[in-house]
Amino acid sequence: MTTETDTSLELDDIQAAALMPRPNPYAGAYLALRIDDRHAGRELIGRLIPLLEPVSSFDPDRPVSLGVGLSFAGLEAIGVPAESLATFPSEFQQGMAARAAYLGDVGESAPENWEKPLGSKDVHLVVAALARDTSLMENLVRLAQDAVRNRSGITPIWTLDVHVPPDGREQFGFKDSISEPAVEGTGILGSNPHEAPLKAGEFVLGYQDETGDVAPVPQPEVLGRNGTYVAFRKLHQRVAAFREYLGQNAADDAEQEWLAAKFVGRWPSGAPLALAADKDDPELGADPARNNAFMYGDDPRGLKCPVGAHARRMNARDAVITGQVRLHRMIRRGTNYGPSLPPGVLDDDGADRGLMFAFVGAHLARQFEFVQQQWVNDGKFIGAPAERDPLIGVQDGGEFTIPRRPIRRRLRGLPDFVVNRGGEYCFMPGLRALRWLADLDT
Amino acid sequence: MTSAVTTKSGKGLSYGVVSELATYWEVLPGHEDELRAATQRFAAVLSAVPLEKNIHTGLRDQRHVIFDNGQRLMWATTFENDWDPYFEDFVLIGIEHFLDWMQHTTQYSAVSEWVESSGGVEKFSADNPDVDAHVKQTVGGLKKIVASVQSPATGYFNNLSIWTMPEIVKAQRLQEAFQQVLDDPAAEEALQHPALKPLLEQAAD
Repeated sequence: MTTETDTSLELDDIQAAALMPRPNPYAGAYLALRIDDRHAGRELIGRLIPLLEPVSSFDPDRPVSLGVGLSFAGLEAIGVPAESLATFPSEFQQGMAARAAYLGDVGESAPENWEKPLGSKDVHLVVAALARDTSLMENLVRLAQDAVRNRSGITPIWTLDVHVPPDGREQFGFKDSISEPAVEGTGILGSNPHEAPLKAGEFVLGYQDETGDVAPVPQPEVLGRNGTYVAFRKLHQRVAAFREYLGQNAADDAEQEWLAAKFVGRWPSGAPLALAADKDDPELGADPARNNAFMYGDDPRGLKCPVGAHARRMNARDAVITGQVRLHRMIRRGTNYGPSLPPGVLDDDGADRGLMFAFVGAHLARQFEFVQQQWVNDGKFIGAPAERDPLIGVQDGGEFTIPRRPIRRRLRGLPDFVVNRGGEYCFMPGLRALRWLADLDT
Repeated sequence: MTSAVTTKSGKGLSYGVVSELATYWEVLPGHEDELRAATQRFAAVLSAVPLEKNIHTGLRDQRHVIFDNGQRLMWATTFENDWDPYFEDFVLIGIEHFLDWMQHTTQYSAVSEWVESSGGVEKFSADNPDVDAHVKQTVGGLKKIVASVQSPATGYFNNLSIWTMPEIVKAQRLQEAFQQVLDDPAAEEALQHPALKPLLEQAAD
């Protein structure tokens, strides 16, 4: 089967929230809704469309961002015909909970331990609303809530407030959301000048991707084209356990910071180990023109940045690994939730805190699922089969090697620092597709 | 521009850190000798590739066997990691060399059709400055063909299945360094330290 493709992107049809960086600073919410009545669901989508911006008119200084996605159960609930549903990839049809074993969502991260109703067939429509500050966010969320309010047949079933922490860093204490891929044809500048823009088909359905192919587009064309997939996960961060482990394995505060930086691949300021191997460089970390402008080719043994460090696993750049990095690049969106654990506190206060993670890409299997299976929860691709991602991998008492002269450091007995509290796969349609969904007459 | 829409490959057996992929092809009548020469060229190309690049491909070994009186070809590989998730990666890295031997099989007809629809074989000439882009665009066709002739092994064993290639390379590097240490007249005394006991135990042969 072949598909005619057009190389120019229809930027006026792609949801801005899919491709554009989130506001920063930010405050916002994720809302999950159940659609009990398909007609009410279609009307809701019709009300949401005017609130959504396409990439073409997106203003990076605009203080708000809204995105809408539907799970497979949501597409069923809204009455998408069976012959159309069958054209979605199997992993999306199954949903994230059914893919748990493949994704490494086992033990405490297993679906039976997820926060209800995540992982159930009730999560139909997900709205992500982000704004630059709390008051704008409240207005934005109110807009979204107004669209839902008093709609019989629509039930809000889950919400999660997210906000930038006071110090602007994620819960483990590191600046994040630094790395952004450039997407060909969008005008979106990537954060690494050494990385060529990725083909649009890596992130938007209907266009050529890095293999020279076009990913199967859900049918009819109006539904699938200009859409993408989103995988969101509520990742609980065990900050006290992280600090405790560092304290047990370091002689002083400076060594704790050094160990943590080796885990992450960056210093707390965001300065990459590849450019600041020995100590933090806050000026570098704060400079968007420099803090992601590097490769790993000059550090094959990981003496500056360990080959197994989290950031290097997530994007090995030009390092020698099994496979092609560019086939597995993702747009990653992280938003902080829950209260910060005050500095110096080593006891878990029981609060739920962590990161609402969102993957965006046209290939759930080749991008998100591949990265979870091969790069997060395995180490064969870097020649270290006994090791997993030290920060977000399922450890089971695993180990982590820090190359260092004269003798490498090897940490053992790593606990899990992150637990998945639940998530789902969503399809993020283009704006014309949303109109098609709103106008369904099945 | 037309692009092929593809489906995922099949899956061979895994053993430790490696997996196998065995494929069975039909040889075009009268092409046996050309095919034999092409498979030898393919092996020569792989032999000349620096180890670092081969680590990148994940390929541990491969062989071509022509059988059934020159009518059929087996291409069997051992690959580091699982074939299935890395299929596109591998094909993308080595694609230009596949075409050389694959053109002597009946399965190549689908690829050649696609090659023609992408601008003709001249577009794949090394003289074409855009050859890389055109080569990449054959991935879809190749993937479909390889998947269509793949047959999983019924039994599979690999003696080095617990080691990845980077670990093997490092073991080689360590062995060379250790032998240099042993060649030093001061080695025996230096290795007496309790922390070096495991090395001393390896020093006798």
